[in-house]
Amino acid sequence: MSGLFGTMQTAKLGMFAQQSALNVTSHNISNVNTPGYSRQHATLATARPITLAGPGQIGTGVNVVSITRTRDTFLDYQIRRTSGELANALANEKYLSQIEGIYNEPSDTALGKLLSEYYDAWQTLSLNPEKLEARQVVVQTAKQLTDAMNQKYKQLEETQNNLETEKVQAVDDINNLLDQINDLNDQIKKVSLMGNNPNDLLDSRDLLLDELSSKFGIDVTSTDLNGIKLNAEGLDIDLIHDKASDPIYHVKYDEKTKKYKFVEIDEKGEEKPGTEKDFSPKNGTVGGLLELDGKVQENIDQLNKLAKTIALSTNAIHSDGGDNRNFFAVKNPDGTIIDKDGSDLNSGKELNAGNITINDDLLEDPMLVNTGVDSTSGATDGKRALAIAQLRNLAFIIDDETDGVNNDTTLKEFKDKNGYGEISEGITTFKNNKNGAKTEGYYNGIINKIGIETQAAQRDVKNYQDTMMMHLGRRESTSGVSMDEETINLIQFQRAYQANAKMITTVDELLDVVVNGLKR
Amino acid sequence: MRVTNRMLSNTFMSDMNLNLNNMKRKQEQLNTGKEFSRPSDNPFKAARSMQMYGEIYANEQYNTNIQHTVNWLDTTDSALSHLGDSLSRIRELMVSAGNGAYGEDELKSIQDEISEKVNEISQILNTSFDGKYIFGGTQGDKRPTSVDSDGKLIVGDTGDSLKVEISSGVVIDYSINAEEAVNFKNAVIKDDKGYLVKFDANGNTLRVNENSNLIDSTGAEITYNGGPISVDRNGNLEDKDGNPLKIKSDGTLTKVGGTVINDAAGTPIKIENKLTTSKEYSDDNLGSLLSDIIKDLGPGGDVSRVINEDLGRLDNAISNLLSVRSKVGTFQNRMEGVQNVNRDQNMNLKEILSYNEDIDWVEKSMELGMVQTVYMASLQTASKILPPALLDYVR
Repeated sequence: MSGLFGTMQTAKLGMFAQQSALNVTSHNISNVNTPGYSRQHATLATARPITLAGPGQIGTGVNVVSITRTRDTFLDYQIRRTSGELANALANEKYLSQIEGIYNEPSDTALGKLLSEYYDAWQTLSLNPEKLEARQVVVQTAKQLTDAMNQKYKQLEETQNNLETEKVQAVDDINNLLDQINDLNDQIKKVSLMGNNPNDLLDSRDLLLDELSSKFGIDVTSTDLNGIKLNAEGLDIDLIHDKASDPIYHVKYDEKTKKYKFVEIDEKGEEKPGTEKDFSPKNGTVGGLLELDGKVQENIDQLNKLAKTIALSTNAIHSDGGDNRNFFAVKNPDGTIIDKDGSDLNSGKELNAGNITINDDLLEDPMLVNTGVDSTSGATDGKRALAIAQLRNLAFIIDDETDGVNNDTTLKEFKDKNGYGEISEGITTFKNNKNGAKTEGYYNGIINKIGIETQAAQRDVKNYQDTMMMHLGRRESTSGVSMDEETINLIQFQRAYQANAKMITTVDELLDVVVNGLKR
Repeated sequence: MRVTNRMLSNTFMSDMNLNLNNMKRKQEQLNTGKEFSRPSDNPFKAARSMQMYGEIYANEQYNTNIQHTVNWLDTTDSALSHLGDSLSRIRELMVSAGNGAYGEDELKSIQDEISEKVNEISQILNTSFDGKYIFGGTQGDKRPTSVDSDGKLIVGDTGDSLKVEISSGVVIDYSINAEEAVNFKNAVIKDDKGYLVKFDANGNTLRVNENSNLIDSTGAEITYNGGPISVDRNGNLEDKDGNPLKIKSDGTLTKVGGTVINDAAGTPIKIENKLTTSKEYSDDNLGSLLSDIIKDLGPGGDVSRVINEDLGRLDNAISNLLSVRSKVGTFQNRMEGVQNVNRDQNMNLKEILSYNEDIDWVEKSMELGMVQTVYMASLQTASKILPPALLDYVR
């Protein structure tokens, strides 16, 4: 097409192009704060020129070839990796600080001080065994100690329950995300099939993928038509279903085995039996939550071992003093107190930090506390109380695999493994085990461990946050909208539009000359 | 590098968060005066702190134990001192009973006073402290001594001594049982044939019988001047009329002037004076001794025993008491020393603890000031950088 109409067409194309570009600029400006938005720009290219005999090729104006978004996919990959690690560290830090908070050390109202006071009370009793007040102090101080242990145990169990709840809730979030990603993927492929760039849909899908990467580690590869292949870490299944024949996967959590699984579902959303695949992620929130299982359980176990060691060591010496009376007993959920007889073969088996308590016979009548060698050795004989007080300085084998204290260790096993049989001044007591740990030392070890782990988790969070900041900064730098830049573009395209409009006016005037001026 | 406005505000947000975190930390430290509030703030220091607290608490308990022991020992010492006074008075009375001029009435009044002393001694041995009989041992809820209907001092079953732990693993017996103060031993010297041996004033070892008269190797009394020769507590020899005699180093019996004494046949009387001796100990106790003394002072009793044998036994009892008192004194010294060590240890531990966990107020206040400055600077910078945009200037 040539001639004035051709020029007008050129100007018209120019106006359309600038209008498109203005549109894109306006889109960018309105989305400056939208999360996950990558700036778009109109790619302008000259329109196909026509060939005229004589002048040769004549340009015909400009076309908007495409509207593309500026996005660095490698940055996306890095960000998703780091996001998974950060989420893992955050989950760890959250629960470890909770556990640290439960113990609340160092403080003079926490377990450490109560344990000290417990041994001190026996010392005082050994000097005043005939006094009711001294006996009351021992019994009440011990009760405070067991109450505190019960409470810490309960709080740790609650933390464990919270962990389980969070794991179950993650399932819904993940499945939601998977469904949304699949939906978007379908739409994107349809649009791409028609030859267009579904920029905003791609941005939405990327945003969902970022969110998913904070749940567990993912692997994203591009396929044709802007489609993707989505793998979960460690599994070879493709979570995207492009064709009707592809299986649809959802994740589920098995509370009995405490494991996650991927399972196929049909169109109605019901699970197809026999299609479960085990899923054990290490990255992301889910990976962190799975790892925490072990840590929380470890803390519960350690508290139980401490409670058992204190109880069984005291019971061994106390029950030999008359009537096989145990000092520490077990509280049933209904409030009844059992395991008061130290000669019972299973004594001590059920005892843990959650049910440890004081033999209620002693609470009612503190005169029953065995303080002397036996019931005939004299009212001011405090030798047994002294032996119990000296348990503070004895080391027991607690953490060892074979000889340590376990959930079902009985009083008899504890005595055997710790050399119960040394007699001094008529009282049988334990041997000091060089490789063992004193109760106060073991408790300090528990606190120290949780302190170090929490500090490490906090440092991890800080490090990953710094890395994330850096990556996000780079992404913002590449794909972010700069208001100033858009303003310049605005002026640019506005002027170009005005110029093109001016062009049309000019051509119009020229045409006017031709149409109205040439022939009257 | 392309920088957008968002990047500026993001950077500001993350740095502001950092500043606020720092300020929170300093605030926590200044509020509590401690470097760390939870183990994760500084695990190593927290572990040290907890360990030291444990040691300090244990030390304070040991201090209480030591104080209890010190008070106990003070009471014991004072009771034993009273007991010593009683025994001294008894000794005086016994020596005065040896005055030949005393008749039955005087002896009766001495007897009465000594009987009273038996009650007094029983009361002293029944001293109590803090609700326990201090000489009662592990049976400290029962009176250790009593006086029976015959006026004899009886010691009951006092069990074992009481124990106390004064520092980690160090357990000592700190009580004295009534028996220790009341039971004593008499040393008895015998020769190889089993006869009693006494020393005379010149160091000769002489065989005597239970009446303190010289005997020969067959056990028969050696006679002179129609009667036996007796040896008294101080090693002086006398014949039956009270004439003093001596034995020369070769064993011949002489009068004090040196004249050799001959027997009926005219030969000098020779006495074995260099015997091989061995010491044996026989058990004795105050109760029996005092009863014997009272009996000996009464009608039908032997007053000479009071000033000889019984006096010897009393001397042994007094020296036993002295050794018990010195044992208590040693304990008291030891307790004082241990108490000082305990106090010093506690002070050291508290000092190290403070060094470990307390903040230096001046340093922290300065750090807080710096953090505040940084915070203010970042706020002001942000206010200058963030608001302006090109749009403000385009017509």
